[in-house]
Amino acid sequence: MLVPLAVLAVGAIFSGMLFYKPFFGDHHKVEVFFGIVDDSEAQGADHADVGFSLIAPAHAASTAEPEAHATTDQSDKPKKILDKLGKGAIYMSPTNTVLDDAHHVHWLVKVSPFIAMALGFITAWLFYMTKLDLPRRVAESNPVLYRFLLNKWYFDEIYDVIFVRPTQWMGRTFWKLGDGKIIDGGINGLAMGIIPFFTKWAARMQSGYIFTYAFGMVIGIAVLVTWMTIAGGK
Amino acid sequence: METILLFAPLVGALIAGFGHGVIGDKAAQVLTTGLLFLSALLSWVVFLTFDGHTESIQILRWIESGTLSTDWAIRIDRLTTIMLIVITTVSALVHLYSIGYMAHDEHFRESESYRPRFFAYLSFFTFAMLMLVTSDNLLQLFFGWEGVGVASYLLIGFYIRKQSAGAAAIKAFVVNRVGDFGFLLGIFALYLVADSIKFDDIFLIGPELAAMELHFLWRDWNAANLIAFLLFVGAMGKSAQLILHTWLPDAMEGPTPVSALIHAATMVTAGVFLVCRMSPIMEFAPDTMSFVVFLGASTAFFAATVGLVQNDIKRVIAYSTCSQLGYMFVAAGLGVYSVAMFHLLTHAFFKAMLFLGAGSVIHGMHHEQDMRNYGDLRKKMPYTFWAMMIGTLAITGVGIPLTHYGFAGFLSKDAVIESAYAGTKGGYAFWMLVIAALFTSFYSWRLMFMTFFGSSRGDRAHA
Repeated sequence: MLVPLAVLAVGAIFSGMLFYKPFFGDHHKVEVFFGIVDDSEAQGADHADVGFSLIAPAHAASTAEPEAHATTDQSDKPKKILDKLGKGAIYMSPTNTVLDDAHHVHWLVKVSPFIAMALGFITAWLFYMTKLDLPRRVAESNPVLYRFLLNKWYFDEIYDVIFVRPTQWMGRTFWKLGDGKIIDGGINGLAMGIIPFFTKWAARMQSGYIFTYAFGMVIGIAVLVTWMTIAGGK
Repeated sequence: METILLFAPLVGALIAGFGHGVIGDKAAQVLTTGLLFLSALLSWVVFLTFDGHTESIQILRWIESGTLSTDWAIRIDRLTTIMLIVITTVSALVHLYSIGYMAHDEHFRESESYRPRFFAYLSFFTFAMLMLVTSDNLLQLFFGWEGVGVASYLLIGFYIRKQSAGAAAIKAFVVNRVGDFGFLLGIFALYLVADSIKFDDIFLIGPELAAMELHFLWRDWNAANLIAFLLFVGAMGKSAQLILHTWLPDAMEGPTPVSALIHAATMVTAGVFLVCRMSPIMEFAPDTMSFVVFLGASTAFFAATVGLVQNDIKRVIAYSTCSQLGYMFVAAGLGVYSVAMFHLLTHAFFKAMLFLGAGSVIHGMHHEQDMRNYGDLRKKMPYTFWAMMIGTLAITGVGIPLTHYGFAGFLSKDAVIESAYAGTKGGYAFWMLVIAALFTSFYSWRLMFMTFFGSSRGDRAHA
């Protein structure tokens, strides 16, 4: 069980440093890595002297398209830009400069996750290594917040009320009332009440006397005539 | 080569699943693990020799029905190769780890044969996941998408006598169906407008979609935004983003290697992969992308706050996964797909390691998962301690500021946060992610201190 841990440890330590450039290096490196442009095209473009500046490729792209602001109006987009569509594994629209801008954020932004990490570490150290009663005190002084977090913002409880119970209620209703009362009740009523009633009635009609059959025919004609009068025989 | 690496796990799954009676338990485990290592080796070869040109390898013609014509083909491009190495490497290592972890499970009776079943599921999952990432069209992607869903369901509910495991499996399945419904509608809508579900065709219609209106429900929507949103609903379900996240913490009912493989490194990142894969459409859907950023940032913050107070070691790591997926979605939503993939790659390594480390702790503590009952394990399990330490240093993002030297998480998380600042002009997403980074550090170190330091605790309650 230790070998997998060791291999993953190597990944956890080195994968970031190893893959930094192709995933988050300069725009061009990323595009080459993801197959959006060929490496050979790189030699043609003249940003060998760009050095540290990473925005050059984006500028080159956006000068080709001076008034492109919204991605929605594509009618006047030069064909050249759309050439990259469908080429390579990912597509970044020419107006999308986040990748380049990210390299030029203020240094405070760049160290902000590090500061956050350090603060978190110090607090955890304080809570769980030195002042061991602190977690309990903090939890007791903020009981509402603590329970709110411990119960995961009550998502499960809310879903239980909104979705699970109504669904179960609906299921039970259809089963007990719909299936049980109406369908079973209907069939039972039909089988044990209505059909025997008609059978008895039909049996009584078959008395053997001619006039009962003649009466039946007269009734039939009356029904047919009524129907034709009302519906016009259509 | 690509075909072998794709089908090796399937062959392993079939033989181990149906033939373990013939070849025996031991052979089934060795076979599946061996085939996975073969797969991993070939993946690295493919990754390292890939020249940047998208390739398509046809396996068979699949569906020919009217205008719907779909091949079963392997699409090899950079996105695929990255996912290949992530999936097969982690999966191979998890297979190897499971041989030890699952050797004597108290849940099953002495005479019961459960190990081949476990390994068959793991290998089947890997195959489905490979299908997902190598897909050449939406149908194939959906097939893999559902395949991993089934595998996840089977593995969460692996402890068949545990009521809570069965409930968690159903929950995962149902919540994912909700997301899949949106995903399906997105696929239908794409077929409606593009008359094709092949990636090569779909990727070219982004500009058209942006200018098109589609009627859906009660009004007309911009087609690009609508389709991107529907696809993202699928991603939300699979990647446990806010609203559809509730299944992920419960999925920890499965054995720990499963959590490491499926619910940390691979399956849950499928949503991020989908958004990156669909980048030629996403780029034309600015409103949906803003929503993706908002939801990703909110999830990162939400999950981190919950992680602060949980006591179950696996749940802490599960919420941490949820939170880190939020980071990836922020990057993807801002249109820096490479950064999203970067964090996906590094996260797979350190999160799988944290889970496997937690598995060792749980294994060593006789299936005790409450951190309040740990303490002072540093001396008892030194190797696990150092592994978890490296994982913690990686996830909290330790490194030398303003340089490119540091643990994996330092580089990728900082890349996400810098992108968030640049993309939102220092707005909501940036601040949420920085605060989440602080919380991440706090709960990760809390986990370390409660587990490996302090005094050995039997029953002393901790807040």
